[in-house]
Amino acid sequence: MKLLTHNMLSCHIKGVKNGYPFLIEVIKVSEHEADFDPDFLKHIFPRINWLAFLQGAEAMGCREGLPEAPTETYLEDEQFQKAFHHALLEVTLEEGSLVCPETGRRFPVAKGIPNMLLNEDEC
Amino acid sequence: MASLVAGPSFGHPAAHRRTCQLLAVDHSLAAVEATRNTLQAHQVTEVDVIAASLLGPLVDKLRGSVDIMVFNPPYVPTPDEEVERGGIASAWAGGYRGRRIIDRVLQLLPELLSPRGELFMVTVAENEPQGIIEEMLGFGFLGRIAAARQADEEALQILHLWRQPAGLDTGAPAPGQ
Repeated sequence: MKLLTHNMLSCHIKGVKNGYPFLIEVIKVSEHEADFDPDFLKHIFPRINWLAFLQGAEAMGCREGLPEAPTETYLEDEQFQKAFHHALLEVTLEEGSLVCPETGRRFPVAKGIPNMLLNEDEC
Repeated sequence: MASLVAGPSFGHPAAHRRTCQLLAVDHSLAAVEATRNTLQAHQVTEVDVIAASLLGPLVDKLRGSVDIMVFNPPYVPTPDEEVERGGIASAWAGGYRGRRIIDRVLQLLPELLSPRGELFMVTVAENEPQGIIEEMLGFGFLGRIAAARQADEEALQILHLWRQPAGLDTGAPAPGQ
């Protein structure tokens, strides 16, 4: 699970109102190279919840170089682009959990795949 | 399996290199593991895989973000109780007219897709895809059958839906054509 995906996940247990963002518990993280495309970064930037992204990056050990509150003008700066690209797309949670901030329910992540399936009483 | 694609839209000139990121979603743990293994075997890293039912944990935050959705639903007409029964049957069981799961996803479409977002969905003749196109007109979508093929007893049709552009000109080509 990349931080791009984490940014799009919220807890959908019935009745939960504040299920975003998931807290990340890390057991194992991996890194890989992803094709660097500033156009993609510009496209995706408006859709990213930056606070959630920073929290996730902190947990996954790739917070360095990410500003607190970037604006669209930051997208022209190559240093920002590289830091954003790396944290968003090149760091993967292989093993760990996503923890609902409201209920504490753990959704396991194994082999890079979050298991978001709900139990019968949670639907 | 549903795949969601985020990437710069089709409207741009082809000269630019385009990357996109994909999410592959299925409710079967076996399916998602097999998908991930296949991706790794081919060294594909642009796809994240999630086990979830009907995009549940994604709907809230993906509102208006999905540029392309590719969906292979359980489309086979079956008794309705087979839809919720679980197990391997959930890979095909679509209930009455094979439409139970299809209809739930179609309901999400207006919220999920980006302004230029598109859906490609596998259907069979029993799902009445032309009827779906007509129904979705009322929700501001245009549609067509993008491809058709006979596979044994299944008459497969790939349904393609996209938002009506504002100030519709009915002579305009569909995105991606």
